[in-house]
Amino acid sequence: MDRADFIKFVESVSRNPVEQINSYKRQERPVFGYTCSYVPEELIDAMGIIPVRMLGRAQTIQSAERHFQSYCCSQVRSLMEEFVDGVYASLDGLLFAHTCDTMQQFHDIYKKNFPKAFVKNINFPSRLDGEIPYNYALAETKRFLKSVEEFTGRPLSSDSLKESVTAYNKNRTLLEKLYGLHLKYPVDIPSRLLLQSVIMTQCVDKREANKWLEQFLSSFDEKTPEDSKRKRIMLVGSVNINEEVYDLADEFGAMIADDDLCTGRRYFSTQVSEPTIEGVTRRYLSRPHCAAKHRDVHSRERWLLELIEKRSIDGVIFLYLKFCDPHCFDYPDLRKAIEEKKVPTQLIEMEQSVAQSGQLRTKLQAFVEMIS
Amino acid sequence: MEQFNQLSEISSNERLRKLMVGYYMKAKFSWLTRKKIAWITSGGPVEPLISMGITPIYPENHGAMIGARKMGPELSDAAEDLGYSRDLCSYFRCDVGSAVLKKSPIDIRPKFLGGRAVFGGGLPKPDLLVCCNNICGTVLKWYEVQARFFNVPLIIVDTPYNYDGETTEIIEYVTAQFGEMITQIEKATGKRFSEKEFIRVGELSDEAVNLWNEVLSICENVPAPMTCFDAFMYLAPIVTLRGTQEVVDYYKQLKVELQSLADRKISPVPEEKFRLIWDNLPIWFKMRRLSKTLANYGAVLVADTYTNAWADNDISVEKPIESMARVYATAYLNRNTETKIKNMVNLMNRFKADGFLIHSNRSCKPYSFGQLDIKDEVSRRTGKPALMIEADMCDPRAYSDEQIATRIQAFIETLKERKATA
Repeated sequence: MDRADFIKFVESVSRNPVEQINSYKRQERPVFGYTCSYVPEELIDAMGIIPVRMLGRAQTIQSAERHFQSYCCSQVRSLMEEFVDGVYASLDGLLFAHTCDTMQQFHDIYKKNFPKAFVKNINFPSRLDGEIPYNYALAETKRFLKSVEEFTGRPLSSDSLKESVTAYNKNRTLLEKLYGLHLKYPVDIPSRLLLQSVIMTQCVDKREANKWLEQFLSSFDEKTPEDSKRKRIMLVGSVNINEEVYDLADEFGAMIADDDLCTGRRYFSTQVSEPTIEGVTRRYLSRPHCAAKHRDVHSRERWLLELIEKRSIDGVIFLYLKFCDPHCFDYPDLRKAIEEKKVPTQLIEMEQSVAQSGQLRTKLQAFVEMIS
Repeated sequence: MEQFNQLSEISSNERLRKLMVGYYMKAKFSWLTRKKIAWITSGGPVEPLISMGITPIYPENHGAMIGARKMGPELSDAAEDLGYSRDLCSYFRCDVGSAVLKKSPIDIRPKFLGGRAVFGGGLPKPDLLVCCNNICGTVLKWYEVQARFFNVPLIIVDTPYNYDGETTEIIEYVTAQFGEMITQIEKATGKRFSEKEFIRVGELSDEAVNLWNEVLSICENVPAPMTCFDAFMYLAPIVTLRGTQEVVDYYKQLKVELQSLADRKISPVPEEKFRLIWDNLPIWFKMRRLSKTLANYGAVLVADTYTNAWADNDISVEKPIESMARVYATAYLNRNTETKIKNMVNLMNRFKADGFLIHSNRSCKPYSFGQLDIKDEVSRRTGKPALMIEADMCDPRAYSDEQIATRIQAFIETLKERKATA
């Protein structure tokens, strides 16, 4: 495999995982879709099911109009569109996790419209602080696990959980390494590869994903770092599948150096320290959290400022999906805290999957000029 | 406080006004009585606060007042200037706008001070914030924002949504949090918790909730002696002051008066032709206009899902904390969509409704997403038609009088045709 093969693979899977799902189905391997990164994937993987991330890619909304009003975020509307249109008909089940109000309602609406589908939800707590939420999260994880065991017809074995946790932790290490190498080789590792690689690993059996990543990353072992003084931009938001922002940053001589996205760092940060149900639960409570969750009133601010400093970030782009309430609530105070550190910010609101106009280009160009 | 009931003989209307003015006056002057103030979400556990002598304040009730006074756009603008998206809940935007501009329908100008607004408009500053997310995830974010703004402690009671109904895991989690909450309140306010006092307050709360349920049920009578536009007003005490004797007394009187109207078949609408159910929050800034429009057609809103959300309570003496956990964990908006469908069908049958009006509320995503499916399903199960109107509870900027009037007119035509062929 050379680098081009890797680039081709991540591009194809991250843009459309359906072929990947179908290939697993041909191998008679069960596949579950999951809508949120709070679904404890290790447990699903350890039960012999491949979890594949669901990210709405429908270009236009028609079928979903009958279920969601226009003021619903495009991630949910476009996913519903794809479900109604049967894009993911070959899935064996769909998993939800409690996060925001919209996803919560999405679960109910999906279940109502697909009464025969295997649909499970892990009712993860909104509070992440202390032992009371932990005790509940653990009890709920066990309840959730039981419902998946009913599907497979056999209990989770501790050996397979151990093996899954090892694969997942390795994947996290590899993605971390990719982010690190990207800073040294911004030309050979273009910014969009961060996004595509994370989405690819969300859609592929982790062992396979790890193999691809390992080979790609090892090709940089002996390589001299590129001499780069590119300005470093960090993205902050919920889910994102838009590659254009990454490409424009590169084109204007900057780079997307890091992010706080559900399709980015939030997904792979924090290892599972113990290969047990308890260890997995702890990981999901302690990872950098989604805006819909609560650790304390300053936890997201602290995390972002830490990341900005660690990565020497020059500017932050808040990349929000329109109607994403949890992130919109955090925005003014986060912007203030970041700008107080003399790091400029820019807000970009977009609709999932909708090709951006020249406006995005102009905004990016102006922002790169401002931080340069 | 504005009244929509066209019948002057409801003397409890004046009592309501006095009750609410007195409540806000006392809260505004709490610094004189050294009472602590806790801001709390509308579905939040107020009984421990009242039992500990802490004044609960409801920003959502304040939001409703702002909406009814048509102050929404000005206060929302102030929040939007700070960077808050216009797509966020308008109660939140109004609350932030009011805190920043110090403008509000609550603007006490004492006569002895020459009518000057010496204390500034708006809610009294909180010593503590209590957020229970059994109504939405929005309040969690809203209260985080206010905790940073006022720099006061924030207590969160996390009540997981009832996806699979009420589970043991949820009840145990919420019960554990109530224990923790009481300790946190004691720490933040220096007040001591007494289980005896808490049970006393819980019983008063139960009594008020039962009375409220009875008040709403009077509209099962044909004709109904009041409309939901009245109920939206009568709701204020059960939200803000449940757990106190004065609320029990108020609803006792209201119940007697409404029952008397019902017995005499007196209706606020000259001729009751169509009985309708309302879903979601009121459109506060259009209460008068909508009530008139409907009344002109002889259409009466006889029940709604919103005011009924406070008609369910059961705090037991044997297990006060656990029973309170169950009450708050299973609040109406925390129940899944299938339960909401059943509830709506039940209301349709109980109140002998001819159809239902659904307010698709841009400000309330958890209450509104699912309505398209609910609309179809409830129509299917009851055989009754529905009309969905898109609006917002506080923000009139995307509202069109003409468009809504046309749609209501068309809906009434449908109802007429159905009655004619029935």
